[in-house]
Order: sequence, then structure tokens, then C-alpha cells
Amino acid sequence: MVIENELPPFWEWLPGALGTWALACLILAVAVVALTLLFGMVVSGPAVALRQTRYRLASVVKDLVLFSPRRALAIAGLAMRESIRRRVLVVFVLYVLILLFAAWFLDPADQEAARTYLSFVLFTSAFLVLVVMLLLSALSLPTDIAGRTVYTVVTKPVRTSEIVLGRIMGFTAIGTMLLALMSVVSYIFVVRAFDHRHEIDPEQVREVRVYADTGDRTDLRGETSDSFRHRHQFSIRKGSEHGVTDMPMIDTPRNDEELNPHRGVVQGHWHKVTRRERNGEVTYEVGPPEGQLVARIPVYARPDNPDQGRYGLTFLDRNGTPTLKGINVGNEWTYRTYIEGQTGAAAIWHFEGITPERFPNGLPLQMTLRVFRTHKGTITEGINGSIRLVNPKNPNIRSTFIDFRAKEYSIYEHFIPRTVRGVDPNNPANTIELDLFAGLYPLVEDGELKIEIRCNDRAQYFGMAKPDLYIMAAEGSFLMNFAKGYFGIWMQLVLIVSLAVMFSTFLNGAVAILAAAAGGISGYFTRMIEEIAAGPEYGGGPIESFYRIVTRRPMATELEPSLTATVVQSLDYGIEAVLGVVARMLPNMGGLSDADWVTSGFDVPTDVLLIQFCTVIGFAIPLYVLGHYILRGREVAA
Amino acid sequence: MNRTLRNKAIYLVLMALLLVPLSWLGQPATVATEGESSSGGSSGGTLAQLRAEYDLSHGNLGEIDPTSEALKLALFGMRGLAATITWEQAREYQMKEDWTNLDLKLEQIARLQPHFVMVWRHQAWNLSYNVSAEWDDYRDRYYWVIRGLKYLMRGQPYNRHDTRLVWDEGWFIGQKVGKSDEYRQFRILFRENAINPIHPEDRPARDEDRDNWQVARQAFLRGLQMYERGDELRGANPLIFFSEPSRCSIRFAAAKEEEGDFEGDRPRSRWERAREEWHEFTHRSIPAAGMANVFLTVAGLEEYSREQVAAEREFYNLQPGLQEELQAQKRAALTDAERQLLDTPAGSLSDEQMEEHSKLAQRVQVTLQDFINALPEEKRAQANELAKKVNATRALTQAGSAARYTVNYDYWEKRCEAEQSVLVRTVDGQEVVGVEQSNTLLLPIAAATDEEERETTIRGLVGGVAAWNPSGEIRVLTPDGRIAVIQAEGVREVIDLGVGARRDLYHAYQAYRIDPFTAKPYYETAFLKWRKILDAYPVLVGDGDINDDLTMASRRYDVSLQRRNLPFPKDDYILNDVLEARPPDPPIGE
Repeated sequence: MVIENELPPFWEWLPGALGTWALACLILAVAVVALTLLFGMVVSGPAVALRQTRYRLASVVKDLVLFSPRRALAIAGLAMRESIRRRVLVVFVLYVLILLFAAWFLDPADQEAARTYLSFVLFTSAFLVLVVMLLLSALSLPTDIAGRTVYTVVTKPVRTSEIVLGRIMGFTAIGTMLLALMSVVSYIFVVRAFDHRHEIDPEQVREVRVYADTGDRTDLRGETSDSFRHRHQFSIRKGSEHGVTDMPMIDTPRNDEELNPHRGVVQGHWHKVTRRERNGEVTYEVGPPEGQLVARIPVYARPDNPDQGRYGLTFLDRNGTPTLKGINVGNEWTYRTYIEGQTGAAAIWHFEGITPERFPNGLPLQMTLRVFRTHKGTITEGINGSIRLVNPKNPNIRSTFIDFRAKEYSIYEHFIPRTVRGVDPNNPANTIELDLFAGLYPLVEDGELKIEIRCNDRAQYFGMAKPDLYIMAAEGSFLMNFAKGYFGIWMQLVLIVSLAVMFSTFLNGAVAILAAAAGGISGYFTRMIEEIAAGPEYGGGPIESFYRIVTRRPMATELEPSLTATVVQSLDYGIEAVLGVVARMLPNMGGLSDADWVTSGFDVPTDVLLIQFCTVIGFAIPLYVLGHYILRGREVAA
Repeated sequence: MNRTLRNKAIYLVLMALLLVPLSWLGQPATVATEGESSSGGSSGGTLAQLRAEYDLSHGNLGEIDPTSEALKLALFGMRGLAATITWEQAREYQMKEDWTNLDLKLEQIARLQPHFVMVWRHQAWNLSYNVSAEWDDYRDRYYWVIRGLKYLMRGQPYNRHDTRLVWDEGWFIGQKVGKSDEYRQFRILFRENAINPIHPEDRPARDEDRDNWQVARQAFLRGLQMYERGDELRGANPLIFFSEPSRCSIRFAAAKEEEGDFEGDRPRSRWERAREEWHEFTHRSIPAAGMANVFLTVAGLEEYSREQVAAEREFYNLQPGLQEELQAQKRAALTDAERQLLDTPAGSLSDEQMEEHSKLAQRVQVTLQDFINALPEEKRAQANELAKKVNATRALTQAGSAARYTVNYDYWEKRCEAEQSVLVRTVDGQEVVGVEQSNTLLLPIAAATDEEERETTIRGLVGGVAAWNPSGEIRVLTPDGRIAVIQAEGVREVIDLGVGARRDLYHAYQAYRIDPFTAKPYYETAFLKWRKILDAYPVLVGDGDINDDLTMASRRYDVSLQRRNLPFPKDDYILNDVLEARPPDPPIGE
């Protein structure tokens, strides 16, 4: 899975985030009060403005302090009833209809069908719920104000803070209910779509002699029947009852057939195969598909701490010199860097927290490397690489090279057993058995382990980023992970509702919808806005780019010094400064989505959820207070 | 109040009156419903008729996709914005190698712009050529090639009259599957149809019917049918467009031989068919590039040249000797140094002198207008008419020459012949290379006069000797340039040359793969046959696949010699002309 911006552990993130948040709230508060004062001075003069602002501030604080949860809940209940009266549950019916028709267009036999299905249900749910709740939230208060029904509320002993918060809570509750219903239906839809079985004709099964380092053996191999437009190869050890389809080799391979990774999973999944013999009759049973709807819990390399000079992934260049990055082979996207084959180049992951309690039998290593060929080589074979384990505290304790063949865009699994062949630290010419955790020369020390990857084919390259290699700690529950994906949508919902309610306190319905939609959509483009605010490497900012297009000047050259160039660049500085502030103020809607984790088959880390939740609360609270402040200053009963 | 009511009544009446011209203008066209006669239905109002005349409506472009139309309506006119954003997102996903989301984005783009042909063409090409190359496993690459092809084919119903999509389909299936680096593997996968199945259910499962070149040929033929029905080529070069079906046949024949399919008469039949199709193409009337309403045939260059010569002769015969006189006058106007430069052979001039030489040659050239101006007044009208004819024939000849160059006519013409060629050995020891076609032998015979060439046939000759025509005598041009006379019953044997040379080369390669040591005699047998082919068809020496094949064979032959500790015969190597035409890197034998 791609993790471009690594999030720190929650407890490391929290203090800094709290400080930034407090500062931002302070700046926002000062700015709002200053604007109110300024506006009041223009309208009523300084003395009146000062008095009014002081009064308003005092009443806002009073409302917040004397806030009644009971009344807020009552308002929330009203908001819910209003939503149901507006037939918001039709959205759920619409969603079900969409799913029914989607079955015509989605193909479970596609190469990455699981990702497609999960992306579809998560995106559709989010789109429907967010749009509907945005409309409801933005229209509610302006409709009440325009229709004068708000009088019946404000004339009761209900504070404006309770009105605002009640509405936020009410619409959030309705959205939550919708999401819950959608998540149930989506889960059933996805799970059912992939359920299929194959059959095996016993007469087609043949015996195959396998030569492996762990010992020669005989396998029973064959092919399943066609289902969902695919088949599987399978193998069962002779004498055993259970086997699997398409699994990469667990044993260290010795011949080409064993080494060939192209016997990988088919359409992203595999099946367990059970052989039964009864009264001389042999039957084979193929289990349900596995490996498609998963929630892997990985242990990634340690977090980077540049201040302390600690990194999770480092490299050796072709001469064996340590470096922080590999080579760029010409890709625009520099997320991955590359190591050259048959040179001193290597990629080294440094793990922490590797304990025998966690991994008593060995390390299930998983990786997704990229391959870059500078020449075709043997087209029908993959590129060779090797893995080596090294004790970080004593590099002389290291394993021998474990060979593998890379396969792109699919997870290559390699189980490293508890004991491996390693180099004798006292006599490097010899090899001895090394235990991961125990013995005179353990490979793991104080929970730390280094894993090196090298490419063995000349003039070919492996590409990697830190998350591309990890140790599978466990496999989590797909159901829980699916729920976490919907939790991410729920967090976006809270944000959208808060934004819409805030805008509805001072804008009419249509404008509030537009404003909230603009804020929400802009939140998906914060990265792009940040990049523009940072100033591009060449071509200049928005005004300079426009000037270059109109005057047909190339992007790569500097503008000639002139008054026009100065004016244009100055305008751009101003725009970039404003955009920088805007980018910091906008919520990163994309960052709240956990869809990527779910669709990639990885468990959403708790740290990520906590950070996202705190981020949402960090936006929701100021939005609530701001909405309350604005509504407090309005004369709704004019 | 009365005034208001009266105004409203006037407005209503005006609106009703306006409905009349509106319905006349905007009435939609209808089609005959089931049960009605074929004359049922109407062409609609003026706007509907204009739409039909200029092919402007979506219905004329092709199928209408309800989902696509609904999406466009739902966007409230912001389709362009949505399309821009979607394209940018697709680019982002491709950059980040997120193939699943890229696929979904391309679906959205197709829904937004189904009638924009470049969407289908560009993204299909993107999938088949760019995305496929990102994968390391050849099976994954093939999957994405076919994915792009399917995307392209999905766009065809929405753009029924666009030949480019059909042409691209043929190109992808032909070139991408059959000529890429992984062509051996791709061709097998295409035939097997196991990964990302592409063949329709009614396509026979025989190897030949599922060969990528045959399927590509069918796609190109569909494109030709569309053109014949009146659809435009839309920027495609007509020569390339029309030549592709025959090229596919040629590639098919070559590919099957490379794969070792020499069974029975199949290789010869394939090349025979390829040659027939090439012949059909070169004799097809094709729009001349850059000339409105002018058609030419690739094979007609000789005829156009003759017409040009005749037209020029007629023109200059208006005043015999005048052209030479005018040329002499122009030469006389040059200085001595200029005349000397003009008379110097081009081969011994430097680059600067060449430029000056060509300028001088232009100065002394007598143009048609110069000639007309020098004619007596009474002849000028006729001269003008003849000059137009000369210009037209010159343009046609030039276009014909350019057409031949574009399609590499000489090479492909001779290639088809050479691959089907036979070696005829006469009882008196002469050898002639000819072509066997449909049990008939075609031999090049010497010109009976300097201006004519003829081919003749000896029927029933293959596999034996038979009597032939009443004269019983044929004059033939032997490989060493002599003119010989042979009797039909003087033929001793007919050897399969073209297919035989290929077969021998294939066997040599198979021997090489097992053990290079054993390959030497096989290669030498093959090279002997190839020598005869290249002597008969010298145009094949320096160009195209044959040179590549023979160069690679020479390299393997060298390896075989090295295994026997024998040196490569650099000085008297039988195929030295092949190596010299395109020197291999690294050089062979060093």
C-alpha cells in the first residue's frame, strides 16, 4: 500500500497538534472579533461597536458555559424528525438500487476486483451521504429563519449554542444511521460478489516430484474447474489432506519451477484444497476464496526521526556507501527509489518491536517491489533478488542470501522460519544455523532487525519505498476494517455537517450549500493548493503562468527583468501567501478517508483513526463556536 | 385590469402563432414503426433535416448511451469541467501506478465524452502501450494490451462512421501483439484466449482464425468497407490505410514460418495469398495525396511515366529544336566558371559547391513557360493546353513515385515473390529463379525488344517435366545476366527456394538451440539457398526483416564456428553483402 505521508504515532503527534490547534483557534478568535469590531465601527461607530462586541462576547461565553445537553438533544431530535420528514431515508433506497444495477457493470472476475468493489461501495456511500447531509444541514436553519419557525425555538429558553450544536448532532445522527444501513448492505454485497467455488476432477490430478532445499518430496498437482472466468493450479503434499491453490513457495526452492513466482495468486485470491479418501474413492474439495477481502496488520520499519538520525529505510549505493535514497530511474513520481542489480546497492529496512512472543515461529515477510528493466532479458522470467537478515547491533551476525524472484503489483510472501542458515561470525567461510531470537548469535537483538534486499540481475533495478516491505503481524478482521472504512466516512460527515451548519447561520440556503460544498470539495484539493502556495519549481505562480501562456513564453526560462515581470511575480507572492493560509485552514478531506487502507487490504491503524478523529474534533469545535457566535449576533426575530 | 387582460390575450395569441414556425423548424425526424411500411416515418423539420445532412446529431454518430446522456444532464452544463478534472485525475492515478482507479476514471471519461473519438483512441493507446509497459510479467503486459484494445472496441458503436477506431483496432492487434518485443508470447496468448478473452464466441477456435495477423486483417478490411460505404478516412494516409490488409497477410505468412509451420503446401499458399492481396492493393485506385479528385494506382507508375514522356514529347514537338536552343542561350549567359561548375560531376563537389551547382542547374533549366514564351504567337494557345497536360502527368508521376516510396513497393513486391520463389534447373545446367503460383511457374523472360517485357507460364511443370506451348521455346534471363533459350521439356528439376530457405534456416536455429556445435552444416545449407534468392532479388539485401534474419543467423553461425574453433570467413563469407548493407553492432567474427 502507498503511504506517501507517514503519520507519527498518536501520542507523539498529539502535543504538537494541540499546540498548533490552540494557536489557530486563538488567531481565528482574534480575527473574528476584530472583524466584528471593524464592521460594527463602520455601521454604528466605535463606541457602540465596542459595547456591542463586548456584550456579544459575554453572551457567547455565557451560552457556552450554561449549555444544557438536554436542550441540545431536544434540538437534535427535532433535526432528526425534520430530516425524516424530508424523506432522507430515500437515499438508502437509492443506494440499494444503485448496488443492484452496479452488479451488471462490476466484474468480480477482474484482476483487482476486490479493490474495485470496495472502492465503489465506499465512494458511493460517501458521495450520497455527504451530499444529502450537506443539503439538509445547509438548508435547515435558513429555511427556519425564512419561514419564521425559528421564532418558536428562540422564544423558548434555548440558547443559540444549543440550537447550533443540536442541529449538528441531529444531522450527524441521521447521517450515522444512513451510513450504518449502507455499511450493512455494502458488506453483504461485497462478500456475496466474491463467493464462488471450483471443482477438481480427481482423474486429472498428477504426481510431481519436487526438489527443494528442505527435502525432496512428492506433490499432487492439478487444475480446478473454471469459475468466474478463471482457474487455479493447486498442490497438495502427498500424504497430506490439505493444500492450497496458487500460493508462492514456502520452502526454499531449488529448481526453476519452484522459483518461478508466476504461479502467484489468480485474480487476487486463492483457495484451500482438501483431499478426502473414503472407501478407495478420492475426492477434492475447494474452499471459499481467500486473500481477497483481508485486513493485514503489518509491522512496518521504524518511523523516521531525522533529528536523531534514525530512519526506517536506508540504502547502499552501487559502491556500497550508505545513503538515504536510491536512484531515480526517470519516474515523475519519486515515491519509490531504485537499487541497481549486481552491484553493491541494497535497500535496508530497520525494524523494531520484533519479539519472540509476537513471532514465535518465524517472520512472515511480505513485499511489493517494483521492477525496472534496462533491457528485456529473459521475457518469460522475473528478475532475481535476494533477502538477507542482519543483526543491527552486530552486523557480523547475518543470514545467507535467500533468493526470490520479483513480481510487480502483487504481494510476494516469504516466510522466514525461526532458524535460518547464516554466516558464522567467527569464520565467514562457514555457514551455521542461526536462530532469530535465541542462541549465541541471534539475528534479532533488543527487538531490532535489519532486512536487506538486493537485485541480482545486471542492469536491472528494484524499486521500493518504506511501506513496500513489512512483516505480517497478524490478519485482522475484514469486517472490523470495513467498519473502520465507514468510520472514516462518518468523520467526513461530521466535518461537512459542522461546516454546513456554520455557514447556514449567516447565509441563505442556496449560498450556504455552495459555500459548504466549496469548503468540502476544496478539502480534497488541499495538497494541490499547498503545492501552488509553495510556489512551483518552474513556470511561476498562477498569474505568471497565465502571462507566459498568453505571451507564449517557455516555462523553463526565467522572465526577463521588467516592470511587468515584477508586477506579475508580486501578485503571485500575494496569492501564494493567501493560498498558504487557506490551505492550512481547510480540512484535509482526503486525509480523513480510510478507503485506501480498506481497498488495499490493510487494517486501518488505531493511531491513524485517533489522529483523524482528533482532527475532526479540532475542526468541529471552532466551527460550532463560530456558528454560535455568528448566530448570536443575528437578529433572527426581526 | 382590462388592459392587463387584453395584453395577456395578445401574448397568448402571439405565442400560439409562434408555435407554427417553431414546429416547422424543430419537428424531430421519425422512423417507421413495426408494422408500418418502409415509407413510414418522416425526415422531420428543417433543423432535423440539417442535422441528418451534416451528420450532426448524436444518433448519426452512433449509439446513444443512456447513462452517458443522464450523466451529462446531471452536470448542468459543467461537462467540460468534469471531463477536465477526470482527465487530470486519471493522469494522477497513472503516475502513481494506481491501476484500479485509473481504470475507473477511464470509464468515467468514456461516459462523459463518448462521441469524442480521441478519448477512445488516446486512452486505449495509453493502456495498451504505456500502462502495459509498466508491468514486468509478460502475462500482465498482455492483459493490459487487451484491456486497451477492448476499451477501443467499446468506442466503436458510439462512433460508427469513424474509420480511425477500426484502423487502430487492426493496428493494436497486428503491431502490438505481433511485433512487440514479447511478440512470441503475445501471439500464443492471443490464440489461446485464456487471459482477458478477446475473441467473440462465434470465432472458430482454429489457430489460423485466431492468429493475431488474421484478426487484424479482418479489422482493416472492415475499415475498407466503411470507406467504400462513404465514411471518410479522417486524416489517415490512404496508402497506409489500404495497404494494411495485405501487409497483415504478409506478416502472417512470415510469422508462421518463423514458428516452424512448414506443413504441406501451407507456407506457399500463405505467400501466394499475400502476394495476391498485395497485387490487389497495388492495382487499387487510391486518392492521390495532395491532389483533389485524382486517383492513382501504386503499380501504375510505369504507365504514368510513359504518359509523361508522351506528353512532353508532344509539347516540345510544337517547335522541334527550340528547347535545345533556349537551353544553349541560358548556358551562354553563364560565366565560364559557372559553366565549368555546372559541367563538373556531382560526386566530386563539396557541399557548398553542390548548393551552387543546383542553383545553376535551375537557372539553365528551360521551363514550360520559357518554351511557351519563345513560341510563335499562333502556337501559344495550343502550347498552354499541352503544358497543362504535361504538368498533370508530371504531378501524377511524382505522386506515383512518392506512393511507391511510402509503401516501400519494390521491397514488398519482391519479398512476396522471393518467399514463393523456386529454382528451375535445366538439363543443360542453367538455373533460373521464378515464382510458383497456383501450380503454375512464372519465369522472368528476356525482353523480346528493348521496350517490352513479358512473363509467360509453363503449366504443369511443378514436380516434373512436361511439354508446353507450340513454339516449345522460352528465352530466359539467367541470374548472371545472360539470355538463354530453354525448351519446356528441358527443365530438369524445380527446387523450392523461398520456403526451402526459410525451412532450412528454421532447422538451423533449432539445431543451434540444442547445441550450437551442430548448427554449422544446417546454416551453410540455408545460406546457399539465400544466396540464390538475394542474387535474384537484390533489393532484399539491405532492407527489412530479411536482413535482420540473415544477420542474426550469421551471428549464430559464427558462434557455431567458434564452438568448432573455426574462424569466421570474413573475406569470402557468402552473405557479406548482407552484413555490409547494415553493419551489425557488435561486428560478427571479431
